[in-house]
Amino acid sequence: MAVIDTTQSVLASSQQRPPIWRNSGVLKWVAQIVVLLLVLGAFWFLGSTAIDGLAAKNLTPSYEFIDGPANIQPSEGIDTAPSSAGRLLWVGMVTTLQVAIVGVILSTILGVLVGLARLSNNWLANRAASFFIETLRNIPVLVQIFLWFYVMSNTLPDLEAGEGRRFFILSQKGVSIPRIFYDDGFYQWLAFIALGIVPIVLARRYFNARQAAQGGQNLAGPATLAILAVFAIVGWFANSVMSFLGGIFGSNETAVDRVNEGGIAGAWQSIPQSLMQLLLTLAVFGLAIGFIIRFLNSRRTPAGLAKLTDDDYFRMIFAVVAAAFMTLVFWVLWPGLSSWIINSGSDFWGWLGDKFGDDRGTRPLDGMLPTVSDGRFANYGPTGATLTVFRAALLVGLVLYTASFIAEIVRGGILAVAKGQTEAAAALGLSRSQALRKVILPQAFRVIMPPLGNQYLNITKNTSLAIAVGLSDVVQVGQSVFNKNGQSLAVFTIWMAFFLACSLTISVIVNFINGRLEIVER
Amino acid sequence: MEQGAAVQAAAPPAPPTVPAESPGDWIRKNLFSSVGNSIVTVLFVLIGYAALRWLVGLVLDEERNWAAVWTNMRLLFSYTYPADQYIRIWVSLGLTLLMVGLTLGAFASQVRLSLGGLLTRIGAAGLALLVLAIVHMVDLFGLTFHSPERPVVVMLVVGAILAAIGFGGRQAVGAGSDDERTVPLFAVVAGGALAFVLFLWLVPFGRYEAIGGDVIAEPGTVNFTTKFPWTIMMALLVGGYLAGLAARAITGSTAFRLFLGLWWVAGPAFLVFLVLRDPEFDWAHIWSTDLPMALGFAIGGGALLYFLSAPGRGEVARIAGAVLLLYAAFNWLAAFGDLNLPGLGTINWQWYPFASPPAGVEGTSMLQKARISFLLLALVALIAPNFAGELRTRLRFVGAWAGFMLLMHWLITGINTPSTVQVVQPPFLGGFALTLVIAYYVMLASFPVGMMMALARTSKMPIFRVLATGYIEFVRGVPLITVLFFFANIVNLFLPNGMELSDLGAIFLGYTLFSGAYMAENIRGGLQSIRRGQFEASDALGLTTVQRTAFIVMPQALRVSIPNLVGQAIATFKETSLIAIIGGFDFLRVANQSVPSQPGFLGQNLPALLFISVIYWIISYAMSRGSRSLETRLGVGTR
Repeated sequence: MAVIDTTQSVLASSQQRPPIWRNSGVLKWVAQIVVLLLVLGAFWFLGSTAIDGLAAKNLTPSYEFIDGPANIQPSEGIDTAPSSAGRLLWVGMVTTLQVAIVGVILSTILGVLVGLARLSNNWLANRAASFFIETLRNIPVLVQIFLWFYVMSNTLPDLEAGEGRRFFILSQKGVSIPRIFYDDGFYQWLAFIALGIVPIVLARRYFNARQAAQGGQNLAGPATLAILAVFAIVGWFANSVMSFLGGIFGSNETAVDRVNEGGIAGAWQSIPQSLMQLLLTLAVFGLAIGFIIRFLNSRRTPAGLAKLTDDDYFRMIFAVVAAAFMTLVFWVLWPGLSSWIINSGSDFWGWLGDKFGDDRGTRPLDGMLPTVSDGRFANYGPTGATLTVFRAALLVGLVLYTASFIAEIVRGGILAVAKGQTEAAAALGLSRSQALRKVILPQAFRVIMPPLGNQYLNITKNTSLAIAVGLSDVVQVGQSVFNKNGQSLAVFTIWMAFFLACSLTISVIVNFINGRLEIVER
Repeated sequence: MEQGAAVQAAAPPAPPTVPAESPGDWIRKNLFSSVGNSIVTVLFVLIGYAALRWLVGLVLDEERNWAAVWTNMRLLFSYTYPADQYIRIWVSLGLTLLMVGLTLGAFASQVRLSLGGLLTRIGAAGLALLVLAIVHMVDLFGLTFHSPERPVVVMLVVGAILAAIGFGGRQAVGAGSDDERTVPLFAVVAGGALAFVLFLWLVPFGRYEAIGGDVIAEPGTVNFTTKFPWTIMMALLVGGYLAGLAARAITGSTAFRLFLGLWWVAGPAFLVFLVLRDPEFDWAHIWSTDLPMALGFAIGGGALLYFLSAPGRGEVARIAGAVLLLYAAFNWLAAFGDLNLPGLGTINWQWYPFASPPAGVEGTSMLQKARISFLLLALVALIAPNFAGELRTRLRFVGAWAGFMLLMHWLITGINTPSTVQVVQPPFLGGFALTLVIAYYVMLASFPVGMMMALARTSKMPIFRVLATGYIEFVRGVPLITVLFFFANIVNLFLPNGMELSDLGAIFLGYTLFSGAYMAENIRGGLQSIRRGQFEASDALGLTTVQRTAFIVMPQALRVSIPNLVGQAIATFKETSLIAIIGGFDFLRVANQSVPSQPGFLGQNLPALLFISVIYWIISYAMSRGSRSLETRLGVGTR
């Protein structure tokens, strides 16, 4: 009896809930909601203060200036006389992206080389790489960019005046090399090469099957290259046969003409706005529901569904709320988004369609030599690819600085591969370079990839230092825009959106590669 | 079997003796072991020759006027700090060096460096100088030989002397005895200081001065106004080291360490705001308002906390904390003046004596520091029961609160008092001093921000986690320069009337928030390395969440994240140079703009830039080496 009594009293006390002010579950939520309200309140308060203050100065934030005149000319870029402020910002964005992409490629190559040299048996290579790394990564990148800028403009030869074409020009004003560019037939040529996919797939299947059956060397790789080469060479001369694609893609006319013209562009253009809104809504809810299903599956244990915490419920509710919010955006807050998607989709196909056609020349690629006129590089017309001293200083500074970090990452990644792997590769009779290519680097890559992605992010963000040397990147042109019209808040949001989009793109790519590289455990 | 027995019976074998390697063997093994290796060697000799020749040529080129650096040392390091007040700079530097000495004496007294390694480094430095001089003289591609100019002769002589000392000393000490022969760190520091002083007094470096745009370079040793103070500085460094050794032995390490820790948090602020700014204190106001308020919060708040931290008062503390929090929030609300609620009318706070008076009306409002203090008191009262315990524990808790309050009130008063130092361009600091001060305080201030954000991001409470994640990822996705632009240009628009951030304050705030996000990620790495068992063990002990975080999780997490935190500190120091872009006269801006715009040195950007890169490099490199040795001493990764 006594035993039962105690059990019952324990049961009774466990069922008795603590008072509300001592219940940690309640308190946690109260604290969170209070903090959330405080944060939202602070944002609302500060934001309304700013808007009131700006309105008092006749500077109510708006994006109307984007369609207004540029008033400023960028020092260089894809368009040195932009028609509107929006175009000007776009020119800056393209410059930023160009520097970032070239910087990523060059710093990866240099970083890997230096990292390998740092691991070399050769004392001199080892020391030289170590000197490179320790020197460059301990000096601020901005100081390095300035240094390169003054070194280049103080020590390189003058740009020799006078007309003329040369193969390579190295001068105070910059570097110029022959330029290769797409000519009219380029897209037709690409389409022709794409035809080669069918024989490539067939050939690969055949050679793989042959190796599986008979052993020996797998000729799939060489066969692929050979077929590609054949299609590239034939297509170089015969690309005009692909011009019929222009009619399928549509043409780059006004919206009404495009619909009459037909093709993909016309079909795209005639999608009603409400249909697009519906499709977007369905896509967003599909994503949310997919997330919830995957999430619940991940919580499923052999014994049934695991107990869900507050946090888990929050995740699922958050997914639904986010989807609902996006729906609100599509239908009420920004209905223009759907028509924008329709228009730009149609624009894309129309643009592509314009790249095909009977009047196109047959040469896919062409080249030009550097030209000097009036003591300066020609910006336009038939001239070479010119790297002005501003861009060169920024690029060299960023590449050397980032390469010194990448070298350390590569070295760490290779050292992280267990020694047994090297020994096993040697025992199998692989040569040192084979072991490096087939055993060590693939495993090291797994360790290297996440910090490497961080460095790519860094180099993209550091391109904003272009402002120091006066190169017209997105930050520099943005600053000149808001110095002119006072729309600092609007320009600031454009910067943020641009850089966040870049960061997001890089992280998505890096995460995707990471996912592919992950060890699949059974 | 027999062999095994024989080996066991024999005396333990002597460690194998490594036969001394001849230089020829070494070269064959490390440079020409195979054909590929030889090709690599030749390739790197050519690359290295070209790069070094280019670098030395850049430095020694006749177009580089190095007098631009030697004449502008003061400008580079302290910008336009008035010369008649310069003693303040020396006092600050002297106190800092004294404390560096004390800290080294207290914490690094056991550190010993290998004598052989040290001598090898000296020899290698000498050899490097010799190589640079020879590379400069011999044109390998044109097969010609330059007769050496004066700087090259100096390089040759100094290089030869250093190489002789290094390698000669190495031979005398005896090769292969690295483990036995060591010297204490003190000898290295004192030797370095002595060498520096001897250099200043004996070496005919030249006396550089700029008078009215004309540069005067006389032969002789450096100016008396340079070498005399620096001699005292070096004496203070060495004296501080000795005093640290003594103080540690006399006072016992805990109290002394506490003193040093306090100094490194508050001392630099003391130097910057009191010594360097020479604020014009309104003593009547201080006696009547500031001091009583500070004491009131320290003592009154302390008494409240003492009461609340008694065991068994958890409930009372929670209620008191909640009431105080509401009051603190109300204070902030009233500070912003009348509240316009759209559609609901206006709420007027004028009945409250401490509310901000409406614009244009004379009146007193509550001092900002009182509002901050109330908020802090409310938060500390809420967590007070977690620090409950014996009398000693409670007193320590209360003491920490009182000390913090006094420090904070003093600091805010100091910052808000106008400076009396007359400078050409505000702020009163510039050049290297500004760089150093901003870097130091951004590191210090971003630490609590980062810690809070890391805790929030790893928390199980979803709203906190989402907010922290959003903040961290947003900040990490945008470049520092745009954040600084925002804070330098736009942030004042967001502040209500009557509140304003100074340029420097805005930069500091923006940089701290930026750095805090990165700090949070570093600390989060540490937090995630804590094993689950630690959480379970502290739960089993009945610790509260705050206690578990403060006493169990955080100390371990921070120890793990030390390498990353030092890396972050180095990055913060380097990126301070971005201030130059948004208009601050930091080290880089002075070197890149102020110096080359002087009439005597027009266009001389390169010497000053090369000089500051060396200074940046020395500090960053020293920090990274220091972190490596700290890692080893704390045994990170080996436990």
